[in-house]
Amino acid sequence: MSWGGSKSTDRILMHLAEIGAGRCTITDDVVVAETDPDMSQVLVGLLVLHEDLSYASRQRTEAETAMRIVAEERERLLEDRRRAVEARDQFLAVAAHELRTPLTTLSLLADRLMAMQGSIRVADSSAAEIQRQHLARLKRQVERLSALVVEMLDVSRITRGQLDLVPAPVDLRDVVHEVLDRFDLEIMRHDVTVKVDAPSPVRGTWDAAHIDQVVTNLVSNALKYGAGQPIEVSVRAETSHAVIVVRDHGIGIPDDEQTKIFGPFTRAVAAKHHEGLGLGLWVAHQIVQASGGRIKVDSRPQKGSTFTVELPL
Amino acid sequence: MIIDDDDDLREALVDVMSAQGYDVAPFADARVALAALEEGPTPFLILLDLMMPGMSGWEFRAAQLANPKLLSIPVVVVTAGSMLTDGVHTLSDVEILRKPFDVSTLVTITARYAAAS
Repeated sequence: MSWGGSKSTDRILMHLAEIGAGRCTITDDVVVAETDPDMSQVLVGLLVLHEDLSYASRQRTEAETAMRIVAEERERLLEDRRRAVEARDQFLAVAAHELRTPLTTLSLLADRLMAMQGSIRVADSSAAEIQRQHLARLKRQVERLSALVVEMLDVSRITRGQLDLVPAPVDLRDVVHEVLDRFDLEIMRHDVTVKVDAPSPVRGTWDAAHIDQVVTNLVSNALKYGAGQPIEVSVRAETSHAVIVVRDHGIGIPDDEQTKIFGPFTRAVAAKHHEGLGLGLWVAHQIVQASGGRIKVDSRPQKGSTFTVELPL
Repeated sequence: MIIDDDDDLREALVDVMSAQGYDVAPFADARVALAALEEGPTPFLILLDLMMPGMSGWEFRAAQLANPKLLSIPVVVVTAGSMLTDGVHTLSDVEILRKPFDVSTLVTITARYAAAS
């Protein structure tokens, strides 16, 4: 190959510089008009190079456009999802809140009707008995609905990040006693003994209403899954933290379920046998975690479960 | 005294209280209830709803505390809020009765205030 001196080199370099900038002035006419066959070949080569580069560049632009569209779509979907979750939580909160007043009225009226029944003279005793049974069912269903609504509202508040703790000085023994007082009727109904071991004050700074809820959920579970066996609740202070323990001797939790029970909508036993949304332990876990503490379970099937809550002192 | 704008709930509360032998003064409007308190006899307890049109439960409580004649009347706030935050903690010195509740809870609480009065 003979190069036509530096002039040819200059031409090639000029073309290369243009190709590098994404342009090309080599046309078919230029190639045909070229008298030097070597130079003509070089020009064809450069033309092919330019076309290859242009193709690659177009491909890259197209790929970049496609990626941008995908990214935008992803962003849009994420935004849609965020809005949907927000709308769901908002709905949950409003629904749970609004349901409470009619439920209270229903609960009070069912109680009153049951109380009044004994004092009303009814001619047809079998009809009276049916009425009594229906009222008892009505009351049970209202209680069930109430428990679900309470759970719903708590969950909606946690998922909306409204778990604002208001810590204040409190004795955990008072919290535990208050919870157990509220469970008085249910404890009697389950015919269960609840032993409380709280020998000395356990004072610290926690959000009493939330810790109340943690203890409420644990005691409620102990009653639900305790198989009528005694329940033990203890409160004590250790060097760096306070410890609340709720122990039952009921059906227990299989090993493989123990890690899951603090997640939302999980339950170690079939839902049809037990009421609730399966969120009590999740709510408890969220509250304890937000309080800087931890909650753990120790359980063996058919032997019972021990839930331990540790809160920083 | 019962202050609640929900007619059915208020009537149910009146029925429960009357059945327990208490004299009940029900009000759907907190402003009217406040006026009645200033004029009439002093109840041993006020059951107070929070979310009411016109004067809210919070406003009622503030007005009550601003009146030396009324400030010592105990108040139990009846609220649909949960254990979790609902602004109830901004009310000082009131007992909170969270909906839903049953007759025995209501009777227990009322009896405690009746005994203390």
